[in-house]
Amino acid sequence: MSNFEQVSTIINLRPRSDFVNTEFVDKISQRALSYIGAGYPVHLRGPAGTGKTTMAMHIAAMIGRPVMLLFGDDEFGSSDLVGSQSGYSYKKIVDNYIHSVLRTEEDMHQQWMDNRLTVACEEGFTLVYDEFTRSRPEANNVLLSILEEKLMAMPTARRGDGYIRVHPDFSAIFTSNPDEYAGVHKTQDALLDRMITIEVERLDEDTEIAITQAKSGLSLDEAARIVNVVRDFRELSKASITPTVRSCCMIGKVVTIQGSHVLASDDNFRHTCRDVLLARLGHGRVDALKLSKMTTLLDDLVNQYCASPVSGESGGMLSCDRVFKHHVKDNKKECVL
Amino acid sequence: MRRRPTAGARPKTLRALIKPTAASLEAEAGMLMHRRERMERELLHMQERARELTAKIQEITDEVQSLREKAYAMESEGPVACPRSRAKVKPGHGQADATNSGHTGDDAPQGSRFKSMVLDY
Repeated sequence: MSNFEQVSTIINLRPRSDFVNTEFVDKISQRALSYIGAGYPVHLRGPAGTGKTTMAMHIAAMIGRPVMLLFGDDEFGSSDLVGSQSGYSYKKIVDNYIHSVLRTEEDMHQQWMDNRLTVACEEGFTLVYDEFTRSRPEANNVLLSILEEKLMAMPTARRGDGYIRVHPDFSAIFTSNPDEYAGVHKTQDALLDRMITIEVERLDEDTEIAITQAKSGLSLDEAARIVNVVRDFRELSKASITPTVRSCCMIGKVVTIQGSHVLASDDNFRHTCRDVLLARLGHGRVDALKLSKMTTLLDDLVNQYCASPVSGESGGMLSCDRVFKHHVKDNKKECVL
Repeated sequence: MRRRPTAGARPKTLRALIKPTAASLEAEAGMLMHRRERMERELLHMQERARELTAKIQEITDEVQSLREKAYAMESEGPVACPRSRAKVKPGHGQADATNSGHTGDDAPQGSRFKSMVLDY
């Protein structure tokens, strides 16, 4: 290891006040923690918008160790995970303490910089590798020996030991989309074999409503209406970019900012639904006929779920078991943990 | 017949011979005394100068020692860019301040090697 002491940034995760922890989320988290406790890395795999990254961060926060975050990138090489040479260190000593004697000493060598995977393995941090299949498979080869033999082979350019023993507290959480997604590489079987994969399906209705309500600040009924519109549109339109809970949060937040109402008669709300949901029909411009049909479908759904005004201030709680509760008190919405 | 001494001839008596020698010797002694006094003054001046130079040498030696100690201390902190040298030292990318939107926490559990950042999820 060189004399140059690099300074790395470690992450301490904490849940936001609007973090929703339903039974659905809690079950997956508990399973993942048990796998990690058994010494196996966890892989959360599922479609986009199912909360994989948030769940991975939640699990890492529950482990309680500092976290190193990595995001998969097609440009990644193994040096982006392990480390590389960066810069030079030059030292020159001119010693003329005795005036009749002149001693000169020069030394120049390259600096080695450890990257996040190496630091996590050495210090026993939790590695959250988000969308790891977006990196090329050969970039992830270094993980094979780390996860199995608990040993990391280092290049000779790094001064010091050629091997690093993986810290016993090191744990890894991976997330990925299924193989058929664009920009996703097929994962090597050897790597998949070393981890336990949890398939994260689409969120259930209660969780989606809770998340939409928490993120947008709308009432329970309003959030439920938006979620129902989006869920039915998802099923019926067969859009190529499937609308997820993100779409619900987008619509909810815009409605709150605009001061609109979740009503079929509110043009702002209707236009917001069209802008958010119809764009997901295709990757490019959609032909006019299909666009017209989908617009009609969406309008029908809005009319179905949002025809009548929201009946007063309900202040109800969801039937699911969750940490975040939303009370309505004296015409003020108060979020209580 | 006695020969008469020629004009300008030196008298050959002993006194006549010693007297001018004594005079010249006295003169020479006076010159030497004078010279000795001058040299004694010069000596005093040189001794004074030597003392001044010795003090200055000691001062410079002390300064060199403190600079050497500073150089060793700086070297242990890390390399610095030397504008006259061909090899420039570039700081590693982990050394710069973290430019991120999350705020930096005060507790870095691993000491000065790590900076802590709190991330809300």
